Amino acid sequence: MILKPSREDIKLIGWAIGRVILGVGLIMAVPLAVSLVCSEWNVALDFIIGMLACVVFWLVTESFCRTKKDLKWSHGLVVASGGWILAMIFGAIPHYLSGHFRSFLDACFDLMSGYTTTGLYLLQDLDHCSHGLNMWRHLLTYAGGQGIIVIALTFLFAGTAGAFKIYVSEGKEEKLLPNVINTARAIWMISLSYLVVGSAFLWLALLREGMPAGRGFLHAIWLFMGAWSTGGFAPQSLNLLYYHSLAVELITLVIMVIGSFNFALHYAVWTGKTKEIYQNIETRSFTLTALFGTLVLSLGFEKLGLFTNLTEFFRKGFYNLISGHTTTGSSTIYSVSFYRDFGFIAMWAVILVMAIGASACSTGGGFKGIRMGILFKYLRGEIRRLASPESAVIAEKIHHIRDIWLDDAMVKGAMFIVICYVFIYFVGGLLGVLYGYDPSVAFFDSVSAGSNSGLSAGLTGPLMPAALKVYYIFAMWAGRLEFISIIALFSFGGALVRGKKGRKR
Amino acid sequence: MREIPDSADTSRELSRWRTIFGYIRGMFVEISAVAAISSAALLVMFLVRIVVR
Repeated sequence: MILKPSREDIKLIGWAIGRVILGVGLIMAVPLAVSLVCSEWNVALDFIIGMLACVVFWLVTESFCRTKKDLKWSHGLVVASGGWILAMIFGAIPHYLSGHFRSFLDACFDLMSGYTTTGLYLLQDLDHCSHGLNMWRHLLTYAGGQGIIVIALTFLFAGTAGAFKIYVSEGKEEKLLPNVINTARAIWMISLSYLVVGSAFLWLALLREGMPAGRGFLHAIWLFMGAWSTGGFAPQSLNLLYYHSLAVELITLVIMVIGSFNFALHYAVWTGKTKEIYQNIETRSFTLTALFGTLVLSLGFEKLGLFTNLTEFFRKGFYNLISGHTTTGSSTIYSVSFYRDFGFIAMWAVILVMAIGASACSTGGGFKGIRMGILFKYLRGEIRRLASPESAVIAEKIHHIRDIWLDDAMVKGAMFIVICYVFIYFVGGLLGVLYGYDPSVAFFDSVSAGSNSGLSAGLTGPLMPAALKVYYIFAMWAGRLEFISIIALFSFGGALVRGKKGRKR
Repeated sequence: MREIPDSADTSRELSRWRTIFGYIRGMFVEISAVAAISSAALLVMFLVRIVVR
């Protein structure tokens, strides 16, 4: 931890964040191109202004913060957490200029929701949104899912030894390949391959539903990005309900589940270790929790006599449950239906699976499958220890790419992160209740924000209290970066203040 | 400049195709896993209906 950051430390952090912001500016080139092709001149101007702001910030940091020092762990943590906040502010410029938001805070909310692949939004009149802005919204989730830092690493940090420290600080601990830059590129290779295949299938499905080729093509790409990144954004306010298409629902279901898998698992399976998918602790954990969620959901529906038809259950119940579990947030029902129709049991089944979430080192959020696996194995070990003679040595192992023996440090680490998640879920729920919302609705949306899911029971909207908007932004940010980087950023801020006091003495 | 023998070219080409085939097989394995999970979930729903009614 940096106790008294020096001028060099601040310059180094500023330089690295400048590169991240340049990355954000470069990504804006894609929606800019789309708006130019679609003759959306005002929208194009919004993106040009946004890009200019990013480039100016980068030029300033390059001029004043360039240093020969390399990043340490503490710098990496601060760059990751601080970089996301600044990326949110700069990325929100085209959003705010579009006129679809009540305030800059609302624009920032949508940006953080996009980057963190949450999918909650405060944008108004989504159905009349420009193609350029829609491309920007969906690209945000696609880029954020891989990690903004991963993008910067792929293109802008080549040859920097400290790159690994920022990569890990973004909540991705896996090294697919020995070199972190190659790891970042492997993540992109997997994502882009699925982008081509998934978008092609969705396009065909949309053409079959009668959508014009051009519009269908854009919708296919956007729906893919929303599902793969487990972001859940869609170009229509009714989300997946707009399409009324079983084919689209099936394809997005497959994409979002695969998108919620660990990138290390993808890489292992793609490079020949096909058995890994059945042996991996995260796929096993996901299967068990998904089946348990389905059981509770079915019981809830049976109690109310709801969705008794198997197809209806699959499309309205299971789809939304898996959408919550993979922390995607794509939905085939109206938001209020979770509260009005699902009933208490089914609604809390969705809350439970949202809280658990997807895999570590994936585009998803929540506790993560690996932590559920670790805690389950630990509990099983403790029970076996109680039932065995005192002299017996009980050891538990998990399988994630290789066999890993459980130790106390792993269990404590998993427990700490799970407690942090429960804390942000609880505080958000409590805040909602204090503002007068029904407890189920308040906890549903709070868990959705903290786990980066994006399903809403109707609380999240442009008219929600500003304090809740700010808290949800914090919850989405903290949940995505898994707390450690956030704690490091606050410690860095505290150390800065202490440092100044020290010099005065 | 050193000349690369033809056999090296062929083996590199073969290795590239093997890699691409591996990726396609990987995609199929992952899609099958999702299908298996979904089928199991539908079975759970079906069993609940039978037991509860």
